[in-house]
Amino acid sequence: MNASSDVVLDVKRLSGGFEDTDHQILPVLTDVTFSIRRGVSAAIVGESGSGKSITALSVLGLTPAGFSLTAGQIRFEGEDLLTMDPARRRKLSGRGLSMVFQDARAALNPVFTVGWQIADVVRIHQDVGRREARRRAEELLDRVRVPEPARRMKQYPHEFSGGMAQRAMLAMALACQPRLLILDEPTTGLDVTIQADILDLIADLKAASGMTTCLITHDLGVVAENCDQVVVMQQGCVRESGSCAQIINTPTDPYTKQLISDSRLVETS
Amino acid sequence: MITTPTPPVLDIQHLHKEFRLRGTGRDRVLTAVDEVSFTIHAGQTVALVGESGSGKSTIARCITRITEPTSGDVLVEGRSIIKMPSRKLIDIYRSLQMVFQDPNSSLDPRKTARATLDEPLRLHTSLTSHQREQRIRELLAEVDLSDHLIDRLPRQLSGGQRQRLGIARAMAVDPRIILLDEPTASLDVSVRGQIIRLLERLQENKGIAYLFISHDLGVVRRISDRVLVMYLGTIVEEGPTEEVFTHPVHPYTQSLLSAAPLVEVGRRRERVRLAGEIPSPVDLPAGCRLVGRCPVATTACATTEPSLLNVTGSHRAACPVALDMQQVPST
Amino acid sequence: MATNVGPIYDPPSLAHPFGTDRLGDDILSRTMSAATLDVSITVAVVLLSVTVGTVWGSVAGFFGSWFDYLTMRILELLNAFPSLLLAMLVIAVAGPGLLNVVFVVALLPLPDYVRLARAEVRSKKNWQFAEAAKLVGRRPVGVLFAHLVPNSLRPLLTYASVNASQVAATVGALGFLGLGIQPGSAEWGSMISRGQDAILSGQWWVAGFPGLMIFLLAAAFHLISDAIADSRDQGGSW
Repeated sequence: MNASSDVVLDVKRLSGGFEDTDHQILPVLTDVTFSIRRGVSAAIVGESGSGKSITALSVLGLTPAGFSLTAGQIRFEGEDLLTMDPARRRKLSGRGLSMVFQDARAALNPVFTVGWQIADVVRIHQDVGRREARRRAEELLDRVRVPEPARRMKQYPHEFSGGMAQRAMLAMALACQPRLLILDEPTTGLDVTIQADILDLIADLKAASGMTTCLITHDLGVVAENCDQVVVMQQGCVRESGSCAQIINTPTDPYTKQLISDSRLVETS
Repeated sequence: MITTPTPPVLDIQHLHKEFRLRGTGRDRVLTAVDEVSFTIHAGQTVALVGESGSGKSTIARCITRITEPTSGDVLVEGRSIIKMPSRKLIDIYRSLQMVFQDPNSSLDPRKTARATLDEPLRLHTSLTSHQREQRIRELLAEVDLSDHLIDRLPRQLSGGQRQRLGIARAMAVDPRIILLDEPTASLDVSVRGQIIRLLERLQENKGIAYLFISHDLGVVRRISDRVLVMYLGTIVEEGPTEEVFTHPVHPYTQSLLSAAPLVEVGRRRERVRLAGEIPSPVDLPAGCRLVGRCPVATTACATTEPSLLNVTGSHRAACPVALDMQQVPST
Repeated sequence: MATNVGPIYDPPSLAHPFGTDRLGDDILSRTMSAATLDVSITVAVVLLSVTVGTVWGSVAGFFGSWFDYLTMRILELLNAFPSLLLAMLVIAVAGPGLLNVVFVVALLPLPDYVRLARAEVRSKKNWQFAEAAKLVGRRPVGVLFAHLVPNSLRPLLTYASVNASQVAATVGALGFLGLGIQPGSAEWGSMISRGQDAILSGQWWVAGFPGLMIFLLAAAFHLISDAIADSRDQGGSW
């Protein structure tokens, strides 16, 4: 077996951009190349406008209207997602790939109970009846450490705090039993203690299920403490990628160096 | 604290703010700020830290009387502003200014940088239009905004430039104290560093005092002289910044500090965990607010509300249990 | 081009491109002189209504309390009447005339402007730039008129241009019913009224051309409103 079978996600020379009114493509991503090995907790770090989120959305095939990829490959477990037939890609994105978004409360539908929404996802991905789906949904809420899951099942999203809603989103993502879970700024906007709880939870869930995670974030502190593989992006380009220890302790790229000293609030000479 | 002959720039005494929530049956009371007192002296930076619902932003809004406090007093350079009729407040706003969290919404979208800065000058000074124009250019230079941005609208500026403009607006009348409500929360880290350096430089040059409200503990540690830690409307711990960061006493402070990520590789330092999440500030129970979440709570904590007790010097914490543990180090 | 020169009910020709009416008046020249009147009445009505409505609504929305309460009750009262009927009643009592028409027609969309301005100001008065303006040293009235009202104008202007087309039609309708300005003066509505019998006997141009003009004026205002809406889409301002 060759080394590439250890790679879950392999993005090669991915380029793309938004089409303007004159049908010109304004580049957003330029030659983005990185790969994520099975079982690691990876991170894509960058400031606003770095292209980190659109890269993640491209992997999921959820890019916004007006955005198009112009070149490159996205291989998930060896298969190119971009040339794959759409039906197969949909199936794969449900099972193999899953994503958690930043604003969990906005991602939940306000008119259905949280339990109903999780059970719904369970039924889409697992061949079970309504009752069994509800039971599994409750089990999932318990796994993401939502207290009193039975009572919480019957509540609506507005009754959930930001942290609890993010846990519910994690439960929903887990319902698909993903092999790669992409988390787009999952703790941005949450208080630091809640953030730490959620990050601990993600680490525990990852350890229990063996899935690969990819954290999209602007916060190097979160990356340093939780990840083992890092991709640094700036203005649509990958500046540097490597192991977390190498990037944080011995960065070679000037932008990465600057980002680290800015995050630590120390002056660079 | 050493008493000085000049009054503190800002003196907050027993500030209290309640919101009545109309409901079916009886009204419920949301206590946002509960009897908070502190002072800020000239040229000093005091940080208010806490998580959402701690009441730190409400304090700033009460000090400026954007929100009317329920009770308590606010003295700006020795003058009480709470009973002051609102037309007199305009004088106070020459000494007291504020920079808002979100520069996108705190700048009038239809006013250029020039018009934004001209407004306070027109209202507070008798400068001629020529002198004002000169002052506007000076202000832009002070916050490192180049002259050619003078006719830009907020949406034509970057986030960092907008926040600089917000700072310039607060600086326009040469205030003695500026309230900074999460001034870096919406900015990228690279811009955050620039804004912090700018604030430090302005303070050095002009001796302005800052009340720095933030949840970003890294920034707080860097910029502030003193730190006040808030939880559900009360100060649970206060003291010199380094002292509080290196020897936190209150369990809440410990939990907060241990949760903040550092840019260092490897697992987080040992976390002090509190059970559950911050409860709602509606109808607070008697006793310590941390009861139910606190790892060291005793039965007494549920009945008596702890007051701030001296730890060392001006370092105080509102937790008798933790203080006892400090004095008798456990083995 | 003179009036009263041609034969009566002359169909459109080179001499009279829009034909003539039963008095032998040239319809093109009457239509053109009516344009000045109709357009200026429409513009005057909309300006009056939008100004009064904006000031009234924004003051009510900003200061609230009893004034806001009273405002809402008055709006409900005005809404309870069928508007055109109300206008006809008032003119029947006050008598026709240029100013009466302007005031009465301006009253019809007024509740909409008040409501719109009130809602805009209410939604924005707790925005931070309004709070920041207070700290800059603005008194409440200054906060309202220097910051909040300018930021509320765009939806009001968008609505005004839609409303202008309705106003143009209403002015025409009143003229048609003989409740407009003096019957003698050229006005599209009264011209249609003059030509209504002729339609049945085949002289379509007498009422047709003034009617077309009302339609074109209304369409023009719609185009303006689309342009305003588009400029917002392109991030003109919010």
